[in-house]
Amino acid sequence: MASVTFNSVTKRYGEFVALRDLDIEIGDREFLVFVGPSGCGKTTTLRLLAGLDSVTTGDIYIGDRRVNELASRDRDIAMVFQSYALYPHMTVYDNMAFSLELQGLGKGDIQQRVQRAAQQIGLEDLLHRKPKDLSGGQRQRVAVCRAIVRNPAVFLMDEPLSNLDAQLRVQARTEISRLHRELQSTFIYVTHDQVEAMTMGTRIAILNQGVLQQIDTPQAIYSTPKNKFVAGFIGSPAMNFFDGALVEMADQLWFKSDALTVALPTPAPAQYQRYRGQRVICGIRPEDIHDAGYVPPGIVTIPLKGTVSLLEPMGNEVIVYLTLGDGQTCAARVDRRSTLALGDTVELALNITALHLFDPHTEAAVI
Amino acid sequence: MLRPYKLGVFIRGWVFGPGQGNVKTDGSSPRSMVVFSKIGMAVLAILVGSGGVIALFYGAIALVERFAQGRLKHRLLPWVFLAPALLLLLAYLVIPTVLTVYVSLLDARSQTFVGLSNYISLFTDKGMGEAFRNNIFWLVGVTGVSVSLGLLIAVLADRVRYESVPKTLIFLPMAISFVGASVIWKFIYAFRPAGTAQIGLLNGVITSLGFEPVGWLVERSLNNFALIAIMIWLQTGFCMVLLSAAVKGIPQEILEAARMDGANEVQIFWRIIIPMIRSTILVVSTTTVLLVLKVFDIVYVMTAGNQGTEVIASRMFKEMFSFRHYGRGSAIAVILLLAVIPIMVVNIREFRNP
Repeated sequence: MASVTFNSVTKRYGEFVALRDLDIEIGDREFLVFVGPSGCGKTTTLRLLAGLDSVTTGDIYIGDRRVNELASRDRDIAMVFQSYALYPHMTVYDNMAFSLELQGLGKGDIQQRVQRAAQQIGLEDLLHRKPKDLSGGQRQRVAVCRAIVRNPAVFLMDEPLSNLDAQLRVQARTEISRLHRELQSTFIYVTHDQVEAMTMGTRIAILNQGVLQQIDTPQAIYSTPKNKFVAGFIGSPAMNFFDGALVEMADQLWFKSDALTVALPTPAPAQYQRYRGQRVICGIRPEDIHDAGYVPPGIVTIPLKGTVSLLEPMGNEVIVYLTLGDGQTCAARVDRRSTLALGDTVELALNITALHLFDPHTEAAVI
Repeated sequence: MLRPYKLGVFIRGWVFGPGQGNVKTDGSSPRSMVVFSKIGMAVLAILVGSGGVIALFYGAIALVERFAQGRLKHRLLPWVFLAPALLLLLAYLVIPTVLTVYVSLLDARSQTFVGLSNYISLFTDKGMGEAFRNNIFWLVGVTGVSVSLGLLIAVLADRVRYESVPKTLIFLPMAISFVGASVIWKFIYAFRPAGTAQIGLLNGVITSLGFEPVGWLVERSLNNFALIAIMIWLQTGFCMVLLSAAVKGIPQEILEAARMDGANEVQIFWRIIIPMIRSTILVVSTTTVLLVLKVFDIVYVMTAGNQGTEVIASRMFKEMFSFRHYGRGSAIAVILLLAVIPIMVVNIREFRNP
C-alpha cells in the first residue's frame, strides 16, 4: 500500500508540453480520478507513473521511493489498459499467471492466487478460455483480474470502461468501486467521462492542456469550481455563462449583462467588492433555473426571459434550451411536469443564490 | 505525305520488325527498327492478350444470355468465368503432372514400361543420395538461418530510428534474380592459385590477412555452405519484411502490459512476440522451404552440381538433358512434387485460418 507523489513533473514531447509542472499528492488507499478532455495530459500522467514514459523534469514518488529511473516492473504497480491488452495467445488463467510466473512463484502458489482473484471478480468459469472467445465485458473483467492478482501497491486504470456499452459500464463502475473498498489499495483512474469521475473518485483531478486545474472531492469540485474551465467541464448540460459587469445600485451589488440582471445576495462577499464596476463572467448551472410553476420552496429567484428553442424530455426531467434576448442560448433542467412548448416565450426562475462569478481575464473563480 | 499502302508497310515493319513482309530495310536505322519492332510486339501482345480475354468473356456471356434461359442460365454463368482458369490449369498443370508421372514409369526413351525401377534405381544411386543429403542441408540451413535472421532484424530494426535504412539494404537482394545473384557471388568466391593476384573478395580479404586462398566452390567441406549462403542472402529480406509487418501488428499496449507484468525484453520476445506472430513464422518458413526444395539456378550457375554440390533439381536437369533419361528425370520430378505437397497443405491451411 502506498501513496503517490508528483513533484513539479513536466513532460515534453519535442516542443509539445504534454504535462506542465504537476504537483499532486495522492494518499494511501485513495481513489483518484484524472479527468479532462482529449489531449489534456491525463493518460500521459498515468504513463509516467507506470514507467512507460520518462519524465522530462520533476520527480515521482511511490511511497517514499523516487521511481523516476525505476523500470515499470520494479514499481509495484499494475495497470488496466483501455484496450485491455490481454495476451491473445494465452488462456485467461495464463494471462493472470504470467506476472506471477515471472516473479518466480511456485505452481501451487500461482494457482491459489489466480483462483482467489478469479473468485473475487467472478471469472472462475472462464479461466480456460482464450480472450477471443470472451465478450467485451468479460475481457474487461479479465484485464482487471490480471491487475489484482499481482496485489500491487497502486492500481492504474486507463479508461477501462470506455469500450463497454452503457449498461455494462454502470455495472463495471460499481464493481471497481467495490474492489477499491475490498483491496484497500491506491487506485488511480483516468477517464474522460465525468460521471465515472463523480461516482467513483474519492478525489478528482481535472487537467486541461497539461495543467492541473483543480483537485478536490467530487462535491467540492461541483459546488465550488476553481475556474471557468472546471465549472464548464463538470456538469451536464454544462454551466451557462454570461458576460457582464458588477455594478452597484442602491447599496446593492448587481450583476448586469444584456440578458440578465441579478441582484447579488447581501451581504456580498468581500471578494466581489474588488470587481465593482468591472467586467465579470457569471455562471449558473442548468438545475438552478426552474420552471416558474415548479420552483422548489425556500429559494429566491428572479425571472429569466427567453424563447424555448429546444426541448429534451429525459423522463425524470426536461432539459430546456432557451434563446435569450441577446441571442445567447441557456440550458435549464426543469421539473418533468413542466408544460413548456417549443417556440413559447417564457419566464423561467433563476436561483440567485447559486451564481458563480469568474474573472474574465484569468477565468479564476471569484470566491 | 504517307500514302495508305506505305502506312500499312510502316505499321507492319514496326510491329513485326524488318525482314518480315516486304519491308525494304534501307540500312539507315536497322537497330532502332529492331527495338521499335520489339516494343511494338509487346504492345500488340498486351492489346491482343488482354483484349482477347475481355472479348472472350463478353462473347461467352453473350452466348449464354442468348441461348440459355432461367435456371440453366444461372447454372452456366459461373462456369463461363471459371472455365478459362480451369482450362489453363488443366493444360499447364494437370496434364503435365499426369504425363510426368506416366513418363516416370517408362524407360530412358519413354518406349517401354519399366514399373517403379526408375524410382528404385534413384534411391540406390550414389549421386542421387548426395542430392538428397545436400537438399536437406539446404532446407535446414536456408530456412533456419534466413527465418531467424529475418526475425532478429525485424525485431531489432523496430527499435531503431533509421529503421528503413537497414531494412532496405537487407531487402535489396530480393530484387536480384538467382542467376544474377550467382554471378555476383562468383566474383566474391573467385579463386586464383596462391601467389597470384586474387580477384575474389573473400580470398582477397583472407590472403591480405596472411592466409592461403581457399577454393570456396571446390572445397567439398565448404562449397555447399558457400552456395547456401547465397540463398540466405537472397531470402532473408523476404522473411524480414513479412515478419517485420507481423511484429508491427502487435499492439504496443500488449508489450507495455508485459513490461509492467515484469517481463524483460528477452522474455517479451520469446513469450509474447514469438507466439503472437507464430502463424507468420510458419508461412514464411514453409514458403522458404518450398523455394529451397526447388533450388536449381544457384547450383547450376555456380558449380553445375559438381564437387558434391548436387541438389534434387539440378540432378533432375542432368538426368533429363545431359543423360537424356526421361524416365529417371521424371521420377525425380515426381519425388519433388511429393515432397512439396505436405508443406503446401500446411501453408494453405495457415492462410485459410491464421
